[in-house]
Amino acid sequence: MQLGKVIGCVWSTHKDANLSGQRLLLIQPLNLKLEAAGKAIVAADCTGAGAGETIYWCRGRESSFPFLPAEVPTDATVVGIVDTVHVAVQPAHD
Amino acid sequence: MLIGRVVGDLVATQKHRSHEGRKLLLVQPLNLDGTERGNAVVALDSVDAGAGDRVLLTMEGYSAMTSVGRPESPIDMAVVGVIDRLDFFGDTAVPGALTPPAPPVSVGGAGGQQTVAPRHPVKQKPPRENKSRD
Repeated sequence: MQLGKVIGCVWSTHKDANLSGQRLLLIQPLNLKLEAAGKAIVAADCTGAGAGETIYWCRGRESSFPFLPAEVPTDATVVGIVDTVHVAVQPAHD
Repeated sequence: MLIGRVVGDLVATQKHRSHEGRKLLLVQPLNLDGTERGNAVVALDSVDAGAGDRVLLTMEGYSAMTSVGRPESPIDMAVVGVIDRLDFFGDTAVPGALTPPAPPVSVGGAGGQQTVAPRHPVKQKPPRENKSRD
């Protein structure tokens, strides 16, 4: 899983039937300092995350498992909303 | 699997129910020379690893799910081992690879200062002498 921030929403009317009813969020991946790292992606959501929230998301086939038995064709899903991040060991370059 | 270092953890109240009851660790993947390898990731813990530990990180769904004991759940990374020592053979020795993790730092919190010490300090191994065969 990776940290990310909800930066938007995707609306699509004509899509795979198994995607209907799923919220599609725009996610900006974050690094340890909660700064943007890498390119934004579109992810499904199983937590009810809202705009601006820090979340963690899962990628790959596993990201469709929260929706079983529905076979949702997603390769990234928000699986948790982050309350606090506790960094106990500073990265090596600091 | 990758080698990584546990650099912290995170708290999430609202999450998929398969993640309940397991620690969520922040793990920084490392190169063999100890430098960072990409972004830190969030991994579920299956071996009771803690901050400062050097760990084995599996980044594939099936192995992560089975190690945590939660089949068919949205888990794509898990900590599956705590590394005690790395041995390099022959000419493959990488300088800096066996350096112990960074010393623990004091972390300020609402309840005052809290120091997190690595629970499994990595012991430095004396360099092995190259034995030449005649």
